[in-house]
Amino acid sequence: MEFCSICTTSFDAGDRRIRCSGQSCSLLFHQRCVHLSEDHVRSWLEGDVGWFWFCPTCRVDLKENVEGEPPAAKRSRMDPSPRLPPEVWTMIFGHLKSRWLARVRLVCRDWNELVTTRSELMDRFLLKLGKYQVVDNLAELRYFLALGRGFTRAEFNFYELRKGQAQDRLLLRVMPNLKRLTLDGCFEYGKLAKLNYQLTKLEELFIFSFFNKKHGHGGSIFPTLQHICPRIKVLNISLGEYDNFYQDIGRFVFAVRNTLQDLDTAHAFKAGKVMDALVTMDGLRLKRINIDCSERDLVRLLRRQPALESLWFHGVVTDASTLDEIASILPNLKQIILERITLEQATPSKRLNFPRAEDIKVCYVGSSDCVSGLAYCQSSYLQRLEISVAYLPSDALADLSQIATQSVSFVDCTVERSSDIYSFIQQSKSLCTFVIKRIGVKTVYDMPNAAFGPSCIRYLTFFENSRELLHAFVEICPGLETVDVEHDLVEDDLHKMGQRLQRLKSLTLNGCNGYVKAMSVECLRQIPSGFNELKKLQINTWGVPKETILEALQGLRKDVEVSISYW
Amino acid sequence: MSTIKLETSDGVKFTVKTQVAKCSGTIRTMLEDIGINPQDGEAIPLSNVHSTILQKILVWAEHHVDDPEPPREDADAAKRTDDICSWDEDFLKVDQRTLFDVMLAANYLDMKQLIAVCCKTVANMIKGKTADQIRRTFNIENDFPPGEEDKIRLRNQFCEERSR
Repeated sequence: MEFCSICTTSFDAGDRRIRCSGQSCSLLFHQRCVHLSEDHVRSWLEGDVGWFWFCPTCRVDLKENVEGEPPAAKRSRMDPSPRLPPEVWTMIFGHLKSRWLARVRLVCRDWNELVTTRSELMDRFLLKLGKYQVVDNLAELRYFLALGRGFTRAEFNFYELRKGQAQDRLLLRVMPNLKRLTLDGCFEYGKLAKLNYQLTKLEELFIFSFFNKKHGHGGSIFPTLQHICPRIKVLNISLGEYDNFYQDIGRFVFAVRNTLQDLDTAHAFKAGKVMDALVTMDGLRLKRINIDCSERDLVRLLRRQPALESLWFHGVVTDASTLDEIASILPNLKQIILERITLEQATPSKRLNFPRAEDIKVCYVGSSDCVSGLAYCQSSYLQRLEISVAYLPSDALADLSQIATQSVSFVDCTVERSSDIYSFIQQSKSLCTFVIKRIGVKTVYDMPNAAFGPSCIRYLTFFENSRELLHAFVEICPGLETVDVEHDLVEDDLHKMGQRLQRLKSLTLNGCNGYVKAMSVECLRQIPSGFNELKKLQINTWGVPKETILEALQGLRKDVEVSISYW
Repeated sequence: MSTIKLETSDGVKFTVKTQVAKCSGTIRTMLEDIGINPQDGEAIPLSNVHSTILQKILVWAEHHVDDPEPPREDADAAKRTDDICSWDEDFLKVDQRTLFDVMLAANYLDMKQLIAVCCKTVANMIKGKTADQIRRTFNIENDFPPGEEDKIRLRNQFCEERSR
């Protein structure tokens, strides 16, 4: 609805709307509010000049100077816009993604220089070299080399380095400002790096796949890199073994041991063969590790790493005493991810207590004792708990509901009865965010009865097929503010949500037509008639045209921000 | 309620609530650190700000005087530009000259929130435009030597949106 920008009321049928002629202003006003006489208006409308009226903001300042300033200080509309200083432009560009920054660079020399000399802006660009991006004439090459200088991030993605091509020999040498380098499918026929290159700013190195014509997979990349990038903080290796693999890795880590903080080798190898090297290495102070090895080796390594904050362990934890040991060696651990936890062996204590843990995730949980054990975690810092692939019996869930955390996720878990979950979310007093994905119910889907009070959760992620469960959640969580749902939604589901969830502000619907999860367009018609507080609606779909969706949403309040994206 | 006087470059004097004037980091510093005493009746000279612009800025400050401190944003990532409140959006529906004058004044007066919302507005004017449209919007001359623009365009081909 249009309204007058002075009195902020709308226009009656007989009112004349006065529109400001200011460039990009076009505000509307009541004729009476801007004190325009009928004569004025008529002279513009009937005369040759056309409509020419400016609102107070856009108007030339015709006011007499108050204390006798020289007339030169008067502002004229014809003056060009004042120039903004570079630091203000930098702040403006700070709001743009690389896609628009690329356009900004094309505008003029000053802007191009402004972007390329600010590393916080250049960090948004990723120089990506793939198989089909080969620069093959000398003129292009010259510019390409100049371009390399500014880049802080580069990724080689199925890129072939051919022997004898000039740019290949120079590639890394012309990127002295690189902070992050990813080699993912790099075929080296020539040489990517030589010993006289300097990558002193390189801090993050990711090597996923690398092939050298002479040396095979893995090639000889590490012996060179260990000399030219001495300040690596993050090392992520996901590479097939080759002849001197473990020796090379050990030497590389040794070369960068003073700066290395984050080591991720879990997807490449069982760390047994480098463990002796890692355990005995003086000066190595890791903050984060992602590793696959035996329980015993893990404990050996951790004893030497008191600064560790994040542990992601891919080996199997069979013995609860391992957990006790980790907790006593590293009382300050913040993030713990255990990929397989069976606790098959005799368990003196079944407790998993990390007193400063913020984030705990356990997968493939082999025993329900272990789930109950999590409930003993006394950390008052715990923000997130995720349990994947586990059987959650009633008593374990009851124990778990006592844990003080704001966010709990159950992914691919199985429960006895669905009411176990209702009582869990109802009894967890500090729970705010609940994520449930693909839950199995062993015996019975039951609806919550009157005995269940309302739950206090506000954010729900629901990726699950059971309709009973969805309706039960809507029933017992009236305070939901954000819901992200992937489900075969029908009209009834959205009708119930729209009526019951009176505080819902943000709704995300994931579904596609006729593919895995269906979401009928018809059900969207329910949205405009409910959801009184909705501010944001996100629809992620596949195969449903935008027009069809918008047509179904007709009548939705204007202040709801709708976005539609396609997988 | 305590008030202070501000004097603009064109000699206009404004009487302003102290609390509103303190939205400006520059004025706050003058009052608190340097110890200018507003009770003296002496006006604080703002030699870089024209009266029409100060008037507009005071309207903004009056409206936002009770706003809480904004949360700190990640300096590294591209900041959002779709969270301008509707009042500010209407407030900044002005011609580009005025907008830039407001930005310059806000920069001089050190009003971070106002600069931020202006930056978002200008960033939105850049988004979705071609280089040529951007030049026309801001009246900028293309000063690249012939062919240079194409070369930068070529370089841009290699860049992709940061995946992280």
